[in-house]
Amino acid sequence: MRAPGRTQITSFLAGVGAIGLAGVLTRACPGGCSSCAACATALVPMGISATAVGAAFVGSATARKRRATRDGSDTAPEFIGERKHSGREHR
Amino acid sequence: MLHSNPVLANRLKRLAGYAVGVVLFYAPFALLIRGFGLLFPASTAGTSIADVHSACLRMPFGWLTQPWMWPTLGSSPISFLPLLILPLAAIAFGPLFCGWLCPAGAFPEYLGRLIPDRFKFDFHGRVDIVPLRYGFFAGLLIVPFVASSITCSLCNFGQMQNIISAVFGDRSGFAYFSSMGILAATLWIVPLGMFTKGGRGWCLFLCPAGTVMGLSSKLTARLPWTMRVRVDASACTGCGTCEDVCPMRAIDPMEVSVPIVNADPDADPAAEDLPVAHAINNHLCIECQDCVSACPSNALKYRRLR
Repeated sequence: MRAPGRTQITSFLAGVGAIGLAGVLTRACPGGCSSCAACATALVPMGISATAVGAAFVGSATARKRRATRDGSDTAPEFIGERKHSGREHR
Repeated sequence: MLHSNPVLANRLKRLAGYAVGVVLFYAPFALLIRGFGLLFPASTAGTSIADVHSACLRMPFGWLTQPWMWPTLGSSPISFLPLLILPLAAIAFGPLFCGWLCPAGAFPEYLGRLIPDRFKFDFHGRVDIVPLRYGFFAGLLIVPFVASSITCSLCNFGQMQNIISAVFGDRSGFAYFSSMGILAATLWIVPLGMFTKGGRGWCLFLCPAGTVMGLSSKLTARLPWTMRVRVDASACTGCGTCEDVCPMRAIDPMEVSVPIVNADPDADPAAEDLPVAHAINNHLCIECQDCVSACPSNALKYRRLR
């Protein structure tokens, strides 16, 4: 079994973080909508955090890919899955 | 027509299975819950309304992380039965419940068949599905300690019960809707359902019961007596048909190491003249067997390892 790489660990933490943000919204909303706007208040920090985390995630993946393309190591196993070709073509 | 289209035939068979799931678990029928209520009148199945909540697979995850709920756990044994039985069944047969009985997973999948594939997002190959899935699962277990229980807010079983009850004339389930409930229902049906290739984005990422069953299926897939969909590398032509029909996006043409039968362990999969076969990711596979019926060379079979 392979040890988890940086992408796997980041994905795992992104999952935990997303549920954490959902927890913030769940805690804020009293349910049975009375137009209290508590959800809207909670959505502002949620949106900022989610955007920051998303930007960091995409930025790091893009930088890694660019670096790998530059030094010719984009045939490493972690990049092979990104290629769009079928098994038959691979043969 | 069904004879010439085995995938459609298999999907219709599965649809019949999901109808059985509605009759067993969901009000106004809930035959399994009512039967359990008759056997154990003091349990929640005997004392509360017979619907999917009496045998919920998700609630125990919330309860286990809420210490004030622990004294009441003994009064709800039926809630723990599916949670014990289904992962044990998944060891022997794989997550057949997800592939053949769970209407909440099937609803957006079948609804999504009305939308052409070109409008759908395919997570396969773009997102690291498995670690993200376990991240969501860990979040479900951790978040209640720091915020509040999120298992019910992020529940598609309850939303499915609301829809089925509404079809039979009871719309009271929609009266108490939280922001997160609305967000969850929208995510479940629209972006993660109808507009996700395969239609099972919610099952992929946000179903804790599916995650537990997937984990027990993956950890035990190499046991010789376990039933799983398995690939015969010598028959696989690498055509990719199975990958295309898989609702869980669990088939990968690039992973050739496991669990292919008869594969040479010393072979280099990147070599030009070696066969490239498809491998099934048992973290995600729900044994729906669409791939088995789709395979033109009969390389996939639902069978024991040996």
